[in-house]
Amino acid sequence: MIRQRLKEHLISAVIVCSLLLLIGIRLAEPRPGPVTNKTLDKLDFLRTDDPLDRALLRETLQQFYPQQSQKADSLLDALNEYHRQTMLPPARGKSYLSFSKFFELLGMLLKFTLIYAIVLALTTWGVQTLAVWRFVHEQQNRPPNWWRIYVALRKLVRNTVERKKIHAWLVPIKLTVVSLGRALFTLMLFSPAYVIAYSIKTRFDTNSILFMILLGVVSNGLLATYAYKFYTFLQTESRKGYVQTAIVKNLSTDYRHSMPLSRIIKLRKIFPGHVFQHIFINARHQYFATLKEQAAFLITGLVIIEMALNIQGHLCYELLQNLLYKNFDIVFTILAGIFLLVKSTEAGVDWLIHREELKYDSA
Amino acid sequence: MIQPESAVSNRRDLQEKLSVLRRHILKKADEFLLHKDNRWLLIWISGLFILWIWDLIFLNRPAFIAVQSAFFNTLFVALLGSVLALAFAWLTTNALYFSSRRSQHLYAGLRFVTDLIRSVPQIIGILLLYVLLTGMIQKDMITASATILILMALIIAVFVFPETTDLMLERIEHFRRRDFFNAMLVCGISEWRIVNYEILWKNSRIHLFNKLIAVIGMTVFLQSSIDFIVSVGLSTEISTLNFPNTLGSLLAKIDSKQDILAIGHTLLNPGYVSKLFFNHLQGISVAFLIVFSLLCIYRIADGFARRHRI
Repeated sequence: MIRQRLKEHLISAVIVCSLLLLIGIRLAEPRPGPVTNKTLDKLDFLRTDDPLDRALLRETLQQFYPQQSQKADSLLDALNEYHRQTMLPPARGKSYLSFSKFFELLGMLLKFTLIYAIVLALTTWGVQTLAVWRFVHEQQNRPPNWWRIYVALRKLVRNTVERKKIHAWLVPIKLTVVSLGRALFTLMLFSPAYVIAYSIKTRFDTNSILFMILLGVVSNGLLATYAYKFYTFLQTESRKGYVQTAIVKNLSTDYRHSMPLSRIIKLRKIFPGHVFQHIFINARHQYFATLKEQAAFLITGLVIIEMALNIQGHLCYELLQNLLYKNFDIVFTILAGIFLLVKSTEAGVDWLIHREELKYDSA
Repeated sequence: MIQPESAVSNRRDLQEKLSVLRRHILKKADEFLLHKDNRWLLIWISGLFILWIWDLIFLNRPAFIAVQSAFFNTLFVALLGSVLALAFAWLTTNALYFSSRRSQHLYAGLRFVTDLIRSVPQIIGILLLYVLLTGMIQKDMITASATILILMALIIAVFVFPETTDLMLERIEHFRRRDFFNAMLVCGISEWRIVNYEILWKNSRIHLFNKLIAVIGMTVFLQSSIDFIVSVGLSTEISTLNFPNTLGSLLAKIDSKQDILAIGHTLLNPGYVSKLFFNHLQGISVAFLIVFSLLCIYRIADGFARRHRI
């Protein structure tokens, strides 16, 4: 089954990449080639860029071929055009796919892949951490922060002795700061990358790779959307019958004391002796299937970041520039590269799911 | 002066009716606000209304009109894009499901095409089709703003529908394992009706509606981003005058960008914060509209899913 899936990915990648490269070559504008004429090549004394030599050539041709003056004119026009093209600087932004350009693009693709891999790893951890934190927080049945602020303030208003002490105000102030910070973080999670980047562009170097990684993780709603998906899986799993069986078998259901934040944010999330361990493993298994979708959305996010912020020397900025100047051979080569990256991720996720399934099958 | 008894009684009746009406309204409001999705819908509308009033007072008239038209154009594209995505998904689901039972070759071909659309990062696919759209505008093949907006919605729908198709196929697969599917087949009900009416319409409507809300959010995000990119990166190719105003394109304008850059200035000069809401209103309003709408739509979808235990 897995071999079949991998074969499908491979076939799809080969077909699509070949198609993209063919379309790119077909759509590419022809490169101006030198005017060659075997007879003229033999006249090595002829300086075709000299007006006097050109006039002499025209007269000679007219002498030899008096009936074919048009042929002489077209040959001279071609010579003029050749000189114009060689003398003028290349058109702005116009470039062609050469070996050096190909390797330059390959370098950019590798840089893009590296950033993508780091962001994917960070978001995968972030998604699980945020979802687990939200789930645990809900299970703890703590009152919402706004209610706690209200209760603390009401207590202070009623108690005339307490309200004169500065430390008594610390609780509502701390809660307010935490709530504001959380609201700001939530707004940031939903902000498109370019809004965040332009907001702080005057203070930070927004073109650095580190900033791109940070922006890729926290912006565009990626973390929030997939954390919500993982949270839904956790909720669905928590309602299943096996959870009740596990509780009867004396597994812990205490979310208040045995689920500290330090355990939730760990890279490898283990909750020994707790019913949540089983809920988490089963939810994670379902989450793996959405990784393909998440990866595609992540690539969309990174493309948006590179294009919208005009980060020079990066793959998607190059794509946008070449699209602008209609260098379709380069555009389609870049697209083939990105498509390969998506397909590799899909194949990787399929393999990961297969490995997980084998683990449970053998168990 | 003593009032006639009938007048007093009429007044008492009226008061009683008003009190009943008030209780009824309060009860309905309570019921409405009990659900998270309704609460967030109300928050969204209230936030938009407050911003509208604020902009009406403090934003200059041309900018106010531009922000207003950009928001409505974006909302129109998002709603139409979501409906079109749902229609595409429905058609694709039917095509995939029935071809898998009749012709394996056709099924493989369709699967290949849908997988291909899924594998193309949405923003790149949309960007390429936008280039085609630009070409059509430049050749004067399309001139009406409404047509351009409809085509924008169509382009976005092409790249967001696979998710909804997956959901529909999942729902069909879920119900196919149940006894009622075979029972209905034995009763002579056509498979087409079971899939489209019994499963997708009667038993998955809520799931699909929830997906539709999420797709609206996705469409707003993609449209704002693509319009921003096009206005920033392809501005020499595409005249922004030819494109209808949207939140993304308005944000990419130099005035709006400067307004957003002012936020960075505020980080080190907190005293400047008050000026943000008066002197830099255009950019701040547009950015707020995008972020606030995305947040509210997400919360509405979340609340809706919770209410119906999806």
